[in-house]
Order: sequence, then structure tokens, then C-alpha cells
Amino acid sequence: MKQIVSIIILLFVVLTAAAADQRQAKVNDIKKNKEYLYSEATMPTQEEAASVAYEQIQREVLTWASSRVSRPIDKVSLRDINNLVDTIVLRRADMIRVFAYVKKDKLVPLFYDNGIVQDDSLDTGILDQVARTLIDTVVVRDTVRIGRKVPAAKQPQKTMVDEQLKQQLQQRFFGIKNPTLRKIAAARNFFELKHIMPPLKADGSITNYGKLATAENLEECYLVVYDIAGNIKALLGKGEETRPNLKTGHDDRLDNYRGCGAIWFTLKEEKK
Amino acid sequence: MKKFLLTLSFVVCHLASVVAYNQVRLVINDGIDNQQLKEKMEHAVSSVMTLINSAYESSQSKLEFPEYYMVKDAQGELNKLWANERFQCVEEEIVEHLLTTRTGYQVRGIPLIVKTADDEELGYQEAVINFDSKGVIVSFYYTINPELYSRLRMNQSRDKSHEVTDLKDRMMILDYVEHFRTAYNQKDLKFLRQVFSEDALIIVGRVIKTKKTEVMPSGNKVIYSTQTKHEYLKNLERTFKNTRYIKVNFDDITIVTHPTIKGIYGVTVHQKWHSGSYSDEGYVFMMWDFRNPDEPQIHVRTWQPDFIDKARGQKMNPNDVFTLGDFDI
Repeated sequence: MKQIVSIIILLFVVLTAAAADQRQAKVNDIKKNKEYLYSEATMPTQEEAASVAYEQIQREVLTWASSRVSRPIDKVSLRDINNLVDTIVLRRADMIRVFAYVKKDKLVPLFYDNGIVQDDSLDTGILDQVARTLIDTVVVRDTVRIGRKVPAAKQPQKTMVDEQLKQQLQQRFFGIKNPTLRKIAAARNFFELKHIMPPLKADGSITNYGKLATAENLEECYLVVYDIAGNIKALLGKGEETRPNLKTGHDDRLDNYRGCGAIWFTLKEEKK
Repeated sequence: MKKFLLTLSFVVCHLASVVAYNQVRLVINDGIDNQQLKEKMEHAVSSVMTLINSAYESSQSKLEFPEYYMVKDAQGELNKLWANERFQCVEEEIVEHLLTTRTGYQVRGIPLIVKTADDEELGYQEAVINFDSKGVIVSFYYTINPELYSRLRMNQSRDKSHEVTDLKDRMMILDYVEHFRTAYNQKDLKFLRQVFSEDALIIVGRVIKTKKTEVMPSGNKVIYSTQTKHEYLKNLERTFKNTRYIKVNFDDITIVTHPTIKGIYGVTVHQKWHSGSYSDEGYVFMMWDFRNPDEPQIHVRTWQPDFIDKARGQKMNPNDVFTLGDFDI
């Protein structure tokens, strides 16, 4: 009987320690994984540690989101951020450690759907660079700033073009003649796209757009594909299984982007 | 036979866990592109922490590390701390960011359990390790409260009037504040002698009982006495000799820049002082001079008690806490 009790106590101690080790290992795995944002605090009580950890992760999230667009973001519901955050609680000697974390792809729809303040005069970063640093006169004639037209293009200033930027821009605009598609192709990430799509819909250049799951006749839609960090991976033309990749000029398939999200849209001359 | 096998497996498991317990591995998750330098720093911290854990287990009185990992001066500083406090890292794997500093790199948040040299538990601390540009460890201190550091680093100080806006300046100041705080734990008179300027003004406040009046219903008031650097350090030396350990914590730090003189900063901390037989809490104000960033100096240091009458809960009026504006340079 004594032996059985001793074994039970020993097992309990071992299992508790193993559970704590597992939580610690999970914390370290998350910290090593670039798909997550995290924060942690070690304080005398769980309440204090949680309060500090949540405050810090809100700062992390807003800093990360601000780096995705060209200016700071501060009009996002912090309650919405907190709803997406998970925590792991551990003991550290006489203190409590709260580790808070959130996967970046969970945040992408938050900043898209909850809306950042609309600002028509906002620079769209790369698009404004395109307007200024010219590759050829076709781009110059067709490029306009979102919400406003820039003055008539001057002679292309090829000497101003940085070689690396030139290559990047060439990759973006390869084979794309349609000005609306060019504007969409200029977006580097999901957050920049957020500033490009609504004005294009407002001026009628695109008739409609939405999340992939809401598309009815998908083969009639263009697709902007983005990865879990919000980086734009592809701009795909219309098609059933095979679609033209408008940036590379090669055939492509949506299947090639497993794990990514997509926005569909239709252009003015075509109806959904 | 069964009993023997059970005992043997228990002993083997215990030994294995002790060996594993001592091993520490640092993983730097971002902050540097140079893979070789990153691995060098990871290896240095992993080896140093593993050696510290072994020394803790075997109650070694002195720490020694290869100079490839840690410069001699830093080893000396660490041994000063070790002479007063023993610490170990109880986590097998530490994953942290690498920060870039003015002179190299820094990794923060090394979790430690601390006890005095004669086994009294002091609880949890975090360490900050600084590297030079070649990835060699040049210092090892206790950190200030990590949440505070993070807030100050992101410039979210409560005092916006003369906040220190440059990140490098803020990190430099916080570095020295952490070193200054650790110096008390280390009983490092040499560093304190160096950091106080020769004509430093030291002001110490203490609470005395007087006649109760309408203005002072508790009958308590704070009076101030001044000391020279020499007097202050002589008293401190006596305190260091007569106490087993000193545990100093800084919380609620404010850093402001002088409105007209570049390189002069006012740092106010809420200090908790705990030694074997004595403890107090109060506000420490320091005027730091970083005009020579390699040899910063403290020109003024003041201490004021947290409470004028603790029994009645009568706290020091925050407006009475010394600030940069109270001193002419």
C-alpha cells in the first residue's frame, strides 16, 4: 500500500514537471517562429504579469502593423487585438510569468476589416515611387496617384532610377498594360492593397472585390494572393485551373499557393 | 532485487536530470544577420551559463571562463557579484532578441534564481549580457524591471516634457543605470568611486519627529543633510563590510534630458533597498553627465524616503521629489 502511494506521488510530481516543461518548450518554439508576435512579463502575481504582457503585445502588434503601411496605425480596436491573443502561464521561482502570443495571419483580417482611417491624400509608398522614378513613357502616361492625378509626365528621368528598384518595378509590371492592374500590382503587401482597392472601386475601375471564400464565379475573377505575413505573392489573371501570373508572364495555379490567402476582383469591362 | 533496480534507476534518472539541469542553451531569434557572429554569441552565453550552473551546484567560490567567451574585467565584475550572491539559470533553453548597442550587442532577459552566498533565497532576477562588436562578453548585470525597460526603450515615459528621444541615448543611459544598480549588489566600491564625480553632491533625506502642527499633523518631517563623495563612499564601505548582502531594485524610472545642456540627464528611480537587517524604499534622483559617453559621471545623487509617515500612509509628495530643475549646473 505504501509503495503504491509513493509511486502515485512520484508519478504526480513527474507529470506536473513534464507539463511545465512542455509549456516552456512551446513558449520557446513560438519565440523562434517568425509567424508570431509575442510578449512576456514576469511579476509577483498573475494579474500584474498578464496586464503587462497584454500591454506589451498591443505595442508589438501596432508596431508590426505600422511597418506594413507607410505611417503609424492607432485607430484599431485594442479589444479586438486582445481577443486574438493566447497566453501561457508559467512559474519562475517566486514569480509568475505570462507569455502572450498571436499569429500574424490572424491579425491580417483585423487590420483589413476594422478599417484604418481613410485618407485620400495618403501616399501609397511604392506607387508614388513608380510615379516618380520612370521606367518607360508608357508607365509615366498611365500612372496616377490614388485619389488625385499627378501633373502631366515629364521626360523619363532614367538617371534617377536605382537599378535594384528598376528590377523590382520590372518584375511588378511585366506584361501588364492595364492601368488598373498596374496599380494593384504595385502593392507590396496586404495593407497597401487596402488603400488601393477601395478607391478603384469608388471610381469604377473595378466592379467588385472580396475575400476568396465569397467569390461566386471564381474563374471570371482576378486574384491577388498573399502569404500569412500579408506579403503579396502573386497577381493571377482569370482562368479555371491554370491562370496567367500577370507579374511573371508564366502560367500559374492557385494550388501553388497553399497556406496563402487571396482577394478576388473584377475589372470594369467584365461583370461578375 | 526489485528494490535495488528501482533505487538504481532513480539514481540514474536523478543524475541525468542534474546534468541536463545544468546545461543552458541560448538561441538568438533575431537582431543580427551575421550568422557566424550570432553563433559565437550564442555559444558564449550557453557556455558561460552552463559553467555558472555547475559552479552553483558544486558551491564553487570563484567563476572562471575562457577569455574567448568573456573579457577578464567582466569576469572580475561577475566574481564580485558571485562573492555576495549565487545564481543559476533554471531554464535549459533561452530564446531572446539581440539588441544593437553603441559599442556592440546586448541580450536581455536571462532568467536567474538568486540566493545569498550563505543560502538565503533572494528570488528571481533577470540578467543582461553585453558583447563587444566581436561577440565577446564584456559585462553581465542584473536588469531593471523588464517591463520598465521595454517602456523606456520605446519612449513611453510618463514625463513627456523633456523626454529623451534618441533610442541610442536611452539605451546608453539605461545600461549605466543597470550597471549602477548592480554595483550595489556587487558591493563594487571601485565602480561607484569612478562614477561619482569628485565634486558630486550627495543629499540624503531622513524622517524626524517634531511637534504636531496643522501643516504636519503626523508630527513627521523630512530633513536633508549633504555629504561629499568621500563621506558618502566611506559610509557605504562600512555598510558593505557589515552586511551579508545588498539587494537593490529600481522600479518606476524616469529619464529626462536637460533643456539646454546636451548630454546631461536627470534619472529618478524608485529604489527598494534590502540588506540582511535593514530595508527601505525611497526616491533616488541622479544627475548623470554623458558628455563623455565612455566615462559618464554622476554629479548629484539624492535620496528621499517613500513615506513620511508609513503608519498613517502619508507618502512623500511627488512634487517634493528632487528633479533636474532643482540644480544649477
